[in-house]
Amino acid sequence: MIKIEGMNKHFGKLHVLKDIDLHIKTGEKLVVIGPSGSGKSTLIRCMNFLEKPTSGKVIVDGVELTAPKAPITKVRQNVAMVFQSFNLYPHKTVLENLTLAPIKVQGVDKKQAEESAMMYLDRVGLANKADAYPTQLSGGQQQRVAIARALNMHPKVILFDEPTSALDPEMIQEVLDVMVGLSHDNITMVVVTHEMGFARQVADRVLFMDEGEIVEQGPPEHFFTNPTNDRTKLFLSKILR
Amino acid sequence: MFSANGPFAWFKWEALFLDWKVFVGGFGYTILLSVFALVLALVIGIIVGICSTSQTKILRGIMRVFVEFFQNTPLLVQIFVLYNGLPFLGIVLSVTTIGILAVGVYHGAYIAEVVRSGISSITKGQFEAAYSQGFTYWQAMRYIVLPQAKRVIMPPLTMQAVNLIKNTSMIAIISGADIIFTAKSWSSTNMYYAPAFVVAGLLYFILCFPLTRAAKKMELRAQEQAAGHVREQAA
Repeated sequence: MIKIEGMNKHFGKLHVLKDIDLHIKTGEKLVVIGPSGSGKSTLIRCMNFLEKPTSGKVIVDGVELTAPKAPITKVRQNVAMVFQSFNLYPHKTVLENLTLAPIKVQGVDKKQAEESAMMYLDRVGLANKADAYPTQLSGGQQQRVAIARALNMHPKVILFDEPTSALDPEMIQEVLDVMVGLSHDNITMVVVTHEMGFARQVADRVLFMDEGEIVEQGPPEHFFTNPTNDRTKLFLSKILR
Repeated sequence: MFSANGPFAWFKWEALFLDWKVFVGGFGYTILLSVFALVLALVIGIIVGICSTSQTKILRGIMRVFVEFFQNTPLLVQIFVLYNGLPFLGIVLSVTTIGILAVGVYHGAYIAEVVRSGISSITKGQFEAAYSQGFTYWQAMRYIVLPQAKRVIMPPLTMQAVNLIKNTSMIAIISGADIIFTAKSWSSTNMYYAPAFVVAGLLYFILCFPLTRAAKKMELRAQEQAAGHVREQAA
């Protein structure tokens, strides 16, 4: 589904991603962990081209985004993203947040978009908030709406960029529960997170990044019980206390 | 002052009220000038303001030059150039057209700054959310950023409208028959300057005061919304 080959990313003099090769299969649940500043957010943002790689190839769903004149907006309709800071549209109601892009970008009929929106709101447990505005919701509720908004695009991939990092501790679980529920679907998920419990429960593969490199990757059992790389061990010892 | 031959003597007021139609004419002309200049200023301001936030460096540069030029030269000079300069190029515009053009472009530059800063006040995350859903830059602008920026833009924009109305008085310098010119020409024949300019000031006040009030109200509402936003975020 997503293929990254020899990708580099520089911010000015800063070399944030170094020769990344990564192949994500359709339906795979990939969890990316690593210390802050390791480039994991940049990596995931390259997958929908919110960041443009300096060199290398990014191929999503058979389309090379790094090619000149690539149909980027087209590909993005299949690659939804959930942000750390939710980024709901504050001037729109919850329902409108879910239907705006399907109607305006995908040309879905309004009634149909609203029906599927209500279905997804129900799935994240917020059907009763359809007419509320985002600022009237708690952080956890906003993030669940953001997930429903992503789902209403009927994407093939959902990218989660630290979806629980901005939440109060008591709200983290409600968002994780929704994500665990999602993981039973055939949708491809790429999740940048510090939630190791979630990684263990959901991931097909865990990927550890440090200083712009993929240091180690593997299935979660191997990863958490028997890491081979010293940097991975050090990171896990700090985070799994 | 109000004595029989003071500047505000009663008989001078009487003379003025007898000629009320003259002042209504000037008042109407100022309104006409203001309306057309405001429409022009809005069109220019919105286009230039949006282009000033574009990702294209050259476009931003051109917009910068435009804004700086018109903000940093007096409107009076711009009117003179149009009035005395253009005929040399074989272009002769009516006084009214010059008034609309000069005032419209001048305030267009100011409104562009208001629009630009309004758009910049919307967080980057809004653009990113829109892009991630497949919106193009212009769609994101239209459906997501501008509707939010509008709340920020409206109060200072209204104050720009007030300034624009007052600045239409510059047209008097090239004999446009607005409020100021009317007051001046009416009083120059009979020397009743004092009441004439009091009335002139009052007429501008009638136009501008409601707008200033509206701007204050919008500002308060925006502040309350922002405060509510922060409260709910904190809760």
